[in-house]
Amino acid sequence: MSESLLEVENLHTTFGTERGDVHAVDGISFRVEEGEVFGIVGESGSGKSVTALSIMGLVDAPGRVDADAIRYRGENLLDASENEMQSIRGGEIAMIFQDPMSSLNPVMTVGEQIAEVARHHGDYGESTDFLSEMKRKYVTGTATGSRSWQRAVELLDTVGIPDPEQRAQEYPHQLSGGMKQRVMIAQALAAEPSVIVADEPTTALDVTIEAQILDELLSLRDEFGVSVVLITHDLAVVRETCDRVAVMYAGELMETAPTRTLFEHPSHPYTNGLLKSIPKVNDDREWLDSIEGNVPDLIDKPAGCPFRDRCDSAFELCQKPLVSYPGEGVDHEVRCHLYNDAVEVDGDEAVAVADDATEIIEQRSDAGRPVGGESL
Amino acid sequence: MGMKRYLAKRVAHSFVVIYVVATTVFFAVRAIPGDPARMMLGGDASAEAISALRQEMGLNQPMYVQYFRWMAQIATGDLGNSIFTDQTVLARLAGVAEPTLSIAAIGMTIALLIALPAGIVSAVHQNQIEDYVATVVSFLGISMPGFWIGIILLITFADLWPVLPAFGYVSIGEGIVPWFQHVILPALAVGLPYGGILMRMTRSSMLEVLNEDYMRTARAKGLNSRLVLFKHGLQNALIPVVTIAGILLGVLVAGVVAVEIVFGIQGLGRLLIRSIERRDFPVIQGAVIVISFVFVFMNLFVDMLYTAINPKIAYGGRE
Amino acid sequence: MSTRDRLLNAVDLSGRRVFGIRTDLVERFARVLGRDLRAQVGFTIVVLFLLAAVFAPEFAPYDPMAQEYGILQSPSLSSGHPFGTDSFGRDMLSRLMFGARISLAVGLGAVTFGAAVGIVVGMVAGYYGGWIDDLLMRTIDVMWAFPWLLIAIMLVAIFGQGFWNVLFAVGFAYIDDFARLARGEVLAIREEEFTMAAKSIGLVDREIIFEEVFPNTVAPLIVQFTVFSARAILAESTLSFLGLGVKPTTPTWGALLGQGRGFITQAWWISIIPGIAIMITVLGINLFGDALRDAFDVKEADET
Repeated sequence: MSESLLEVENLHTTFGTERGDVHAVDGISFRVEEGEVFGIVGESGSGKSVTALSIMGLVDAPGRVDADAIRYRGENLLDASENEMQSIRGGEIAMIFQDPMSSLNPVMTVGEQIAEVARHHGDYGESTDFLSEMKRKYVTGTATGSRSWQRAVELLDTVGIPDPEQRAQEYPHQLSGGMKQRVMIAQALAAEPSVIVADEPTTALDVTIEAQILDELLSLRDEFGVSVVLITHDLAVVRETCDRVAVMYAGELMETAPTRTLFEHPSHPYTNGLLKSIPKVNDDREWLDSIEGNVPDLIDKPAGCPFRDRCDSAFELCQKPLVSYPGEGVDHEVRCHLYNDAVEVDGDEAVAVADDATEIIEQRSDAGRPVGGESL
Repeated sequence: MGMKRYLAKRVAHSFVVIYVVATTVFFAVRAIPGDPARMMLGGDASAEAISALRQEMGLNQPMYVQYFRWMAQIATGDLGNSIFTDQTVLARLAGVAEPTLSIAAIGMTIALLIALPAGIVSAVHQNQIEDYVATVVSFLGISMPGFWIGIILLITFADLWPVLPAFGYVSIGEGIVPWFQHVILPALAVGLPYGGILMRMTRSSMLEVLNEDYMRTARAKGLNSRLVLFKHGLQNALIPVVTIAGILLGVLVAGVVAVEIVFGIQGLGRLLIRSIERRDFPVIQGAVIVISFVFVFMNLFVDMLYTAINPKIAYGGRE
Repeated sequence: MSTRDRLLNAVDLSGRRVFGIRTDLVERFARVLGRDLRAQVGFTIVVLFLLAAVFAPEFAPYDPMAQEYGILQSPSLSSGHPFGTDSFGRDMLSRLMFGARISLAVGLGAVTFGAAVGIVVGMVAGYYGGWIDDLLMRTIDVMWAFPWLLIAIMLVAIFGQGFWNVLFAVGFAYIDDFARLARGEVLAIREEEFTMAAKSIGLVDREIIFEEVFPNTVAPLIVQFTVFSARAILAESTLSFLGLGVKPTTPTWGALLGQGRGFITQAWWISIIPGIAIMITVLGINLFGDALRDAFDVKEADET
C-alpha cells in the first residue's frame, strides 16, 4: 500500500496540572490520504482539537506530545527541528481555527495576514527577515504592488470575497463572520499546502454561512487536490462533506470508517448512540434518545474502554484496554470488544466469551497497532 | 467613528477642560485667604496705601467684572502682570518653563525606555528569573515617593560619589552636556515611578496578548517566535499601555513639581508654590493655565498615538 | 416565606446566593491569604504598621515632641535612639511611629472618602442613566486625569492645612475612578436578569441598588481601594514634604522627610528613614493588592 499523506501512530498528548496528568489524547492512530476529506468527530472534551494541535506541534507546556510517529509524506514530524516545523506549518500543513473573530489579528490588515504566509513559504523574492518585516509592519506598510499582496488579493477572490482589492486593505473587525472565515481559508491556502486542518470551522457561524464555508472547503479538494482534516462535533456536517470519518471519545478512537459505511452500518455502541440522538424531521418519538451518564475523568481514567460506564452492551472484557478490530465494511475499524472473534454476540449483547479472547486482544495489540498506554 | 471625528471630539474636549480649569482657578485663587496688596506692602502698611494699591490692581471691582476682563485678556494671550515683580506673567513663566519641560520630557523617555522592554521580557519569561527581577524592581519603583528617589540619587551621585552636579539647572543653550548632567538625576526621580507603573501594565497586557488566539494562528502559519511576538503581538499589547500612559500623565507632572524642590531647580512647579505663598494671583492663574495647556496637549498627543495604533477607532465597525 | 424572602434566598446552579453578599468571594479571599506569598507578606507588613500606629502612644520610647537641645544623634542602639534623632534632639523612632498614625489615617481616609463619594455618584449615574448619567459623568470627566497635585495644592491653599482638609484634598482625585468603576459595574448588572426579576416583585430602586447590585460589585472595588491606598499615602507624603500637608509641626512621614532636606549630608537618616518607612508600607499594600487582584480576577476564577 502506498504511503498515506499523513499518518498518526499512537498519539498521546498529556497535560500536567495540579491535580494530575490530563490524558487529552490517549493513544490514537489514523491516516489521511491525498485528496480526501477526513472527519474527526466527537463531543467537547473528546480530544479532537488537541489532536490537531499535536500534529502541528502547537502544544505548549504543560502539554507533552508523545507518539510512535507522526508521518507527513513519510517523514516523522516528531524528529523535525523547530525550523523544519516552521516551514511545514502553513507551507505543507495549514490550520483553520474555530472562532475567526479572535483568530485573526485585529491590528493587521487582512491582506497582509494572507500575504505574509505566501511571502514566508513561497518564492516571492521579498525579504522575510526580521528587520524587513518590522519595517513593513510599522513603517511603510505592505506595498500593494508586491507579489505577495497580489497573491493575497487573488486568494480573496478565490474564496469568494467580492471587491478583493478593497477588502484586502481592511481590518478584521470590518468584515462579517462568514467573510472572516473565508479570510482564514485564504490564509491557509496561501502557501499551497497539501493538508488543511479545519478545527470546527463553522461552529461559530450561522447555518446559512456554514453551508457556504463547507462548500468552499469541498471545492478546495476538488480544485486543488488539498486534503482536509475536518474536526467537528456535528454529525450532519460529517455526512455532507467527509470521505472518511473517525469517531473520538475521551481521547480515544471508537470507530473509523468511510462515511457511508459509518452511517449505514454503525458498529460501535457510541456511534450508535450518537446517531440515534440526532433528531430527525419526521421524528415521531416523544423523547429524544440521549446517552446517559457523563464523560469520564481524564485524569484518573479507569483502564479499559472509556465508554463502558455508559454503554448498554458492556460486559466483562470491557475492562481490558481497547484494540482495533475490523468492522463490517471495507476499511472499517472498530475499537470495541464486542467485535472480538472470541465473543459471541446476540443483537446488542455479548452472550458468550471464549477463553482465547484475551489472547486475541494481546495479539492485536502487538501487531503494529498498539493499544493506548503502552509503547513498543 | 472615523479618525477626524474622534480627534475633533478630543480637541473640543481639551478646550472645555482648559476653560473649566481657567475659570476654576480664577475663583479658587480669589478664595485663598490673604490680600495680595497687603502682602506686597508689608505688615505695617497703612490702610489707605493698601486700598490705593488694591484700586490700582483692579481688585476692588465686582468679581464678574474681573472675570470677564480676565477672560478677554487671555483670549488675546495677555496673562497680566505679576503682582510681585515687574515682569509680565508670560515672561515670568517663559523663564521657568524650560527646566520643567526638560525634566518631564527626559523623565518620560527614561520611563518608556525601561518600561516597555522590561515589561515584554517579563511577560515572555513569565515566572522565570527575568520576570522575578523585573517585577521586584518595578514594585520598588512604584512604592517609593519620587522626591525620595531624588534625595537618594542626590546623596549617591552628588555626595558619596560626586560625578554629577547636585543642584540647579543649566539651559540647553549653554551646552548639551552640562544640561544633561543637571537634568538626568531629576528626570530619573520622575521617570522611575512612572516607568514602574507602565512596566506592570506592559507586562500584564503582553501576557494577555500571548494567550490570544491570533497568536496561535500566527504560529500555525509557520512564523518564528520573534516575529510572532513583535509583528503580531506588540502593537496589540501597547494599546492599553498607551491609554494608561495618558491617564498617568498627571502622576508625571506631580512628580516634576516635587522633584524641582529637591534639586533646587527654578521651574514651573517651584514658581507655582512660591506664588501661592505670596498670593500672586496673576502668576498663579497663569501658571496653572500653562501647566494645564501643556498637560492637555500631552494628552492630545497620547490620543493621536492611540488612534494610530488601534485601527478600530480610525476605521469603524462592520459594513 | 414571602416571595421577597424566597427571592432573596435564591441560589444559582452552583450554590451561590444570587442576591446578597457573594460568600464565595470571602472564601476565595481567605484561600488567597493562605496560599499566596505576596498576600501574606503584604498583609503582615500592613498589619504591623497599623499596630505600630495605633499603639504608638503605648510603645513609643520617647515623646515625639520632646527635645534634647543640641543633641543630633545618629542611629545607634546604644544611645537609646535606634533611628537617631533630628536636629532638635527628638527621637526619630517615636516620631516615625506617631507619624504613622497621621500618614496612614490620611492615606486610608482619603481613599475612603473618594470611594464613598465616587461609588455613590457612579451607581446613581449608572442606574438611572439618561441625563443624570450624562451630567454626573461629564462633570467628573472634565477633571479626569488632571494632575492631582495641582488640585490638592489649590484646595489646601484655599481651605488651609489641617487633617481633614488634606484628607479631602488627596481623596478628591479618587472620586472619578471609583465613580467610573461603580458605574460600569452597575451598567453590567442592571441588564442582568435578576435585577429585572427583583423589579418585577416590587423592590424599590434604592433597595435594588444597595442590597442587590452593590454586594456583587464589591470585588473590583476592593482591589481598586488597595491600589489607591498606596497612592494616597504617597500623595500625602508629597504634600507634607512640600510643606502643604497637615500642620507643619505634626510629624507625618513626608514632613519628617522634608525637615531632613537641609541636612542631607550631615544627617542622612532624617530623610532616608522615613522614606524607607513609606516605601515598605506602600510596598506591602501593593503586594497585597496584587495578590487580591489575581484572586478576584474573573478570568482566573475557575479551576476547571
